[in-house]
Amino acid sequence: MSAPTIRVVNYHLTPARNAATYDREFAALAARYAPVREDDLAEYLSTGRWPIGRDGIIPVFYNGYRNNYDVARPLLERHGLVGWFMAVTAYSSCPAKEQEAFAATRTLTTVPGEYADGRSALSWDELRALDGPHVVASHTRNHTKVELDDAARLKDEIVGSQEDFRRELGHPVRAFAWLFGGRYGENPEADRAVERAGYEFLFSNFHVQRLPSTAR
Amino acid sequence: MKIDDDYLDAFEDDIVRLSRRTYAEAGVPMYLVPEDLTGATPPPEPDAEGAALAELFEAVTRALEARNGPLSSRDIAHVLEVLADRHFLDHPFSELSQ
Repeated sequence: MSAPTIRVVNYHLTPARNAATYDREFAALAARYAPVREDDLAEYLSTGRWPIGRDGIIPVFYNGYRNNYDVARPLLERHGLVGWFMAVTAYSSCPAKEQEAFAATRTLTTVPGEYADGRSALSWDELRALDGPHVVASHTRNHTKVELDDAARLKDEIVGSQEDFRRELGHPVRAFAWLFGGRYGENPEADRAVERAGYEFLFSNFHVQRLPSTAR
Repeated sequence: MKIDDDYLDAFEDDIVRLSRRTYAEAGVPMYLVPEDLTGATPPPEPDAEGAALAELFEAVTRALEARNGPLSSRDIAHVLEVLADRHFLDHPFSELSQ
């Protein structure tokens, strides 16, 4: 580590039983750091300075869980933070009664019995409501492990997810987080798919990258 | 920066403690390195806090490797998690969940 750093707090499930903890965490983060939107991140990546005068914090919510909307979102808004919601688009498109089976086959943990109707994923209506006040981004289409030499599956997970966002939100999203944290430059097939999909930012385990295609 | 045995013992205790979190429901602070691959501007220099953090990271990883052998990417993630937990706020971030 020799470069400037970006501070993120990674969340997945945010069940109601932990709401008091998330409230304390968001309050402490908001007291010290500024909320971050995509344009702020682009400026920071190109200049090393946060445009708003103090360091930024990015609370990231992975997997597109319904309890992120119900529990985390109102707390974020109480404290003036901007959440980055990394959704799994086929999970959000999956009928409520089939989501338990969807999650069980895709390394998605859920809270048993949390919702009577069985829906554990963010709905598209909820994603549309988040889009604007917060940041909606892609965490693949299916949240499933794909062999890195399988071009068709890579395209489906990376480009297909963006197609879902275009259809449902009416525009592409700007950020993508690859499953298991791969970064740009590690796999040419994945890199081509990420560029073809038109993403601007790639979140991985140790990096946030602004992609070369952004400049073209 | 010199890392003594007491510091390293406490650091490894924190790795174990934080590894016991329920990751699926916990907020996990983490540092990410920014990279602008557009080539539009030269990479920015770290500020004083960033430079100090980078120095501490290098010193801790060197000391852990001297004690335990080469670090895996998972080990490095644990180092970053401890540093983030200790330095994001004026107190450990993980205290907020207790």
